[in-house]
Amino acid sequence: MSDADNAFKLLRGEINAEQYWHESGQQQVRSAGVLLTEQQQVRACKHLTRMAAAIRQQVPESSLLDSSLDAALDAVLDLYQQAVGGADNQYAFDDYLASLR
Amino acid sequence: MRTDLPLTIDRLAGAVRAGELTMSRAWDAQQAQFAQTNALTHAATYINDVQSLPAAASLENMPLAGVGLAHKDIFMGAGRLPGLGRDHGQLDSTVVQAPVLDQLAQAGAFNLGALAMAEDACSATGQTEHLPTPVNPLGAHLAVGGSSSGSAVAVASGMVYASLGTDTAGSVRIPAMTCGVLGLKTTHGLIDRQAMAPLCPSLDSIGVLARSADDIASVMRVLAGQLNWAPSTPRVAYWLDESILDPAIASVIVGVMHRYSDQYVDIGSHEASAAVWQEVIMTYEVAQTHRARLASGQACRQVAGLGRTGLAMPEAWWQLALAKRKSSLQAFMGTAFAHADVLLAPQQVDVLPTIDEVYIGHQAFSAAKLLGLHHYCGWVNYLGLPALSVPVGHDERGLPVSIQLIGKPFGEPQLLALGKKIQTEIYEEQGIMPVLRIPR
Repeated sequence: MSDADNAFKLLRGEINAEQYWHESGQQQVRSAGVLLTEQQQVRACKHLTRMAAAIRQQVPESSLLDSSLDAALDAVLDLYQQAVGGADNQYAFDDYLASLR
Repeated sequence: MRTDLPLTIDRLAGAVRAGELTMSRAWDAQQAQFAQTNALTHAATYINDVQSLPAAASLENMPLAGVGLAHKDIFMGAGRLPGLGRDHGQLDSTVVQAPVLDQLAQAGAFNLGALAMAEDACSATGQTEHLPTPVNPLGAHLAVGGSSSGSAVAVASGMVYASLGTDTAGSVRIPAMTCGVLGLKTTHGLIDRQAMAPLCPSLDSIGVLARSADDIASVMRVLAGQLNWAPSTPRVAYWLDESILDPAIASVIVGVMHRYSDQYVDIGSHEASAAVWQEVIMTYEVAQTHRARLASGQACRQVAGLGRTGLAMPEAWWQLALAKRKSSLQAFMGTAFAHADVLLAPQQVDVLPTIDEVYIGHQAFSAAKLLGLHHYCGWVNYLGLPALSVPVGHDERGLPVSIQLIGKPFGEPQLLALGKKIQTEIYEEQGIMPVLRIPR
């Protein structure tokens, strides 16, 4: 399973932050040359859990209802794949903002 | 500022251009005052004692002729590497000055020195591990917000007329609020950020702190002369969630909002959403910016705390946050600015905290007090909008209470026009002026 797949699974709540950590997060941190203590790792997982929950609530724009969760998350997946494979989003917003001048 | 010098930028520069005050005298007076007051405030990390004076013949084209400024220690100076809140910086003759500082110098401004900041611009307070914490001119027991802490203290105590800071999640607006001055976060990308140390490139904006809206406008006309600076009377809306405001300040904020607008807009869902995406971007970009320092164990406490999660965080979440930014801005503008040019919004949620309440590691530390400093700031950075922090009254202790004015992209002139109106009317009625406070 790729890191992107794991990221989406975490967003969907299919895996928890600890599982994500073992499958992807830990390797990302190590490849940056950083080793975390157990306590730091627990804090990072708590932070990831909180952010995943917050993101889940923001997509789509209105609050999600359980019954519409799958459809909403499919919409997230579309956007997600578009974001990962698409243009450079960091500069796209700057260009858009500049166009409003 | 010395009492024999004019109190505003326009008056000082006007006196210099008219030949009533020479550049040399203006430099000497302001440099001496900067150094003397710094002994009390610890706002400066570097004091410039050599100033090259521009040719007198060109003064008439200098809107900031003879005006003493100093800036957050985050910009490359002429022959100086910034200290970034880690140390006092390094002199290096090969270093070229940041374009934004060049613009101010060409307009005739003096650069009196570099000002204290939270390490790597990553904290809502002025707490530092390696350098003295600047003293709040409103009271030495009071917290100084961050990360542009020295900028706010220097402006409030009269060391300088105005100062550049940077704002990623409130770092201009928060210290302006805690020191009772005005702080403008500019539209993302409006002011050149070359030769400025980044924290989160997608969110960072340069800002200006000063004691009056007019002084900020004087600096902004130099940095963003291309904006429409014609006089304007902006249409005003407001948004407020009274439930989160401490009763000790709520009546001041509610009163001002009702006084300046009868048009309520509910942007609560936009604010909540933008705040989430801002946190995602900041967490990821802090880690990427400071990857090397995280690996070497040199990152400060705040960078390390965010960066550890940021390194583990999926890049795809960051991409997702960026991808949703344009539509988020469009949706927000459709609600907030459908019939208005400026939105009044809360910034301060509680009375100004003491140092002990927000400095990590102290026995009296309160996470709620610390979070309260930046509760309503980051979402504005996600949307890339300009925002002006303005004191609008005071609490029972006589300490300032601030709100923020939020504008459309590149709406800085409208923000400053309304800021001036509010400042003029309220200050005249209540007799509060954020000038010349010297630490007790």
